[in-house]
Amino acid sequence: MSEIFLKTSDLSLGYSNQIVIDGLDIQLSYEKDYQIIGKNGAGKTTLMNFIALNFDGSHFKSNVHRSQISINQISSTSTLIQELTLSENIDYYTSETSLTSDEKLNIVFKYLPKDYLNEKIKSFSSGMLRRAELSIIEIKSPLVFCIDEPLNFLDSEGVLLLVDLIKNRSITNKCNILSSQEFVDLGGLEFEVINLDEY
Amino acid sequence: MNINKNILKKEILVEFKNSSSLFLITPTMSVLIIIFPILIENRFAVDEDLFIISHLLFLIIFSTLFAIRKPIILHELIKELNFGNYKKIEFFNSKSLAEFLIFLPQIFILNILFSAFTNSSVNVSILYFMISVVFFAINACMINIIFQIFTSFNNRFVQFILIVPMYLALSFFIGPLWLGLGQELANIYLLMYLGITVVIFATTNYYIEKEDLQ
Repeated sequence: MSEIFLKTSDLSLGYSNQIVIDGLDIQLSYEKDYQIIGKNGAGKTTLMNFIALNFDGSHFKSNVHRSQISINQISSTSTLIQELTLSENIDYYTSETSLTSDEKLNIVFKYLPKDYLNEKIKSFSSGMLRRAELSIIEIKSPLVFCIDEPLNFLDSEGVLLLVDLIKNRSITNKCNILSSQEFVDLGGLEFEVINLDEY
Repeated sequence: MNINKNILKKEILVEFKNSSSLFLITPTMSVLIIIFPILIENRFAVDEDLFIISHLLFLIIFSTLFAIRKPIILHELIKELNFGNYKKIEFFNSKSLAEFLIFLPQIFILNILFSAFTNSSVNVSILYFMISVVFFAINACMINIIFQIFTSFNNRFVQFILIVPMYLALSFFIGPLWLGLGQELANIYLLMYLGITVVIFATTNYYIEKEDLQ
């Protein structure tokens, strides 16, 4: 089985009639880690949303071949349901994993204090929201994990948790895709760089 | 049928925690309480059928307010479904069922209160009345979700303007039934309503499945 999960040629993405990414050829394998870098407006978030199937703009004359695999994205705005508690969100988003409730909670408590479990998401700070999403990613362990601006909102402890998560995923041959303005050094981890300023 | 119990549970939980339906039924009922006793005072001048027409009007207003109480933002919905690895078809079916379960009791309460406050009744047997309300509720919920996931109108005013004619069309089947029809004609109307429900459900499922496969 091929390790390539996404192959595009002449990929053009945009919104309405405005083209953001024009003529991009990429080939992504889930056994590698990637960093998408570029200036503001270069199309990092657009490309990331496209990879994670969250793109809601227009595809122009693009050729895209994609495998059906599990991809999860953490974007700049939280995906968690604001009206529900953390515990209810975890039940909702991780229902299909084989882990038991206790195993899931052990992972969650690595990222957040126990008091947060029955708090509504809308009372969470940005940092805690991101930690909650990271804990869900660790529970779900998708084949591909995309994160936009990885260091945003996280304190030093949060960054260490993120680095650990990415390292552990890399060891088990799972793909991590980061996007930021400049290359982010995460404890010496190797990344293939997709520089959108060059396109 | 692709119904996901997690989506169903989440939708009902969110509704329960928001109590948004309560904020709708209260003002609608307040209007009813204030206006209709005044009308009843002059009942000699009001035709009996007017109450049934007003009944339908209240049903449409309430359904429209219910439909636009919490707009679905398509981009956020797609993100949520992808993060939870849920399919769009599961969302449509589960959300339709959740909305129906939330909406139906409220519609029955509305109907009971309307009859109580106006001292009027519809000219149809209770069984036919209930079946017609159930069909109306199923179709209203499905049309609302279809409308929201196939269009990008996040503006409540635009939604209000566009969804009212659709609900008017649904109520055209109820109108003659409530005003009093013979048994055979009533059966035909209910069968037509069933046919519309099946067609809406099947067409939507077809388009969503087709979209997911691409």
